[in-house]
Amino acid sequence: MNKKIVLYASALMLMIPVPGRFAYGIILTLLFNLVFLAGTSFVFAVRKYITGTMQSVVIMTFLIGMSVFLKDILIFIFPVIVLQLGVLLYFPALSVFILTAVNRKGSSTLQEAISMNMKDSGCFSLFALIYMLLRDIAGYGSISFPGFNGILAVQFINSAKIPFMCFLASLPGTIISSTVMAVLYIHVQKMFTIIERAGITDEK
Amino acid sequence: MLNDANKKTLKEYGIFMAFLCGMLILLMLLTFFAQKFWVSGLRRQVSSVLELYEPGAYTVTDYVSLKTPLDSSAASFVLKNKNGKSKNPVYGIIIRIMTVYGPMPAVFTYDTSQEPEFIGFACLTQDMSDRVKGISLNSTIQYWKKRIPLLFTVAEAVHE
Repeated sequence: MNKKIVLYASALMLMIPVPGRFAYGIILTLLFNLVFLAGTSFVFAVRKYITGTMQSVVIMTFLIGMSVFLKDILIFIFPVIVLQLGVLLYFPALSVFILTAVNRKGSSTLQEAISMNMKDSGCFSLFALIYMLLRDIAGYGSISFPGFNGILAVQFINSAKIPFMCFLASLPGTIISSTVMAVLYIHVQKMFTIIERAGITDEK
Repeated sequence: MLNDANKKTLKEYGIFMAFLCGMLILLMLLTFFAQKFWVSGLRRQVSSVLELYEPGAYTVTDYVSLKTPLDSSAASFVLKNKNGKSKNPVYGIIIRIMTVYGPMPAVFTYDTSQEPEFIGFACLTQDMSDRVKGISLNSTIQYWKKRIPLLFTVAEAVHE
């Protein structure tokens, strides 16, 4: 499977069910990166001692444990966001598992393994953050950040008065707009491929 | 007799069990310490939503443990009615409900002699909260209005 598609699909899988606020994007991206970093280090640490099927079981158990651990840590700082996101806070572990399943290359040192995996994680995070920022601006007319007492938002448009923005803020609106953007992206990419091929033919 | 393959399997299972036990102990301890922050953070939220929609009407007091698995997605508190209208206990509940905008923390008040009343959503502006309320009023909000009294049949007040 195309690695890029898996990367973006798992980012969307993580972000679509979440309310379209940038604040939640920051929290989930942070969780994803921490789980990813801890997961990579853990795989490196246990691979000498545990092999075969047992290794996947141990890795999955660790990722779930790590998610619960980070959820508990978040309760200390943002309890209402933990209440709101609920099981969605366990989704980063799933995304990490999918990405590491695609990206299981042998690496000799921990540093090499981290730099290799964190490159994917960086692309994933950037895509997810831009996606959530656009959703926040288009749907809620604001840019929001996680705060001790809920979320802190810089509101520049009262989106509740604009039906189209309300539609974009809803989950069906998000799915439809994301699909339209994906179709447009594929269409533009195809056009560029055609132009590129035509250029090569001319040279010949 | 243990051959090398069995020894290796036993060693792997041993490491896994030790790891699992260590992780469970750590998580239980962390969950225990996080409980206090969970209660105080959600109490602040219930209080601020009540102040926004019904200013000066209630004071949020004791935490009420719901004694159901929903305790991880809801929290309830005893409310002190400042106007002294009701003689029955009044509760303030913050609960995650699914809306067309994704999961939202909804605040209800529940006077045990009446149906629960929806107050508003935390983490949303008043206009946006009213918009989400308009869409969810006949579906999820109605569902939770019927469900909340059932939760309180096993609830137990925790006085701090």
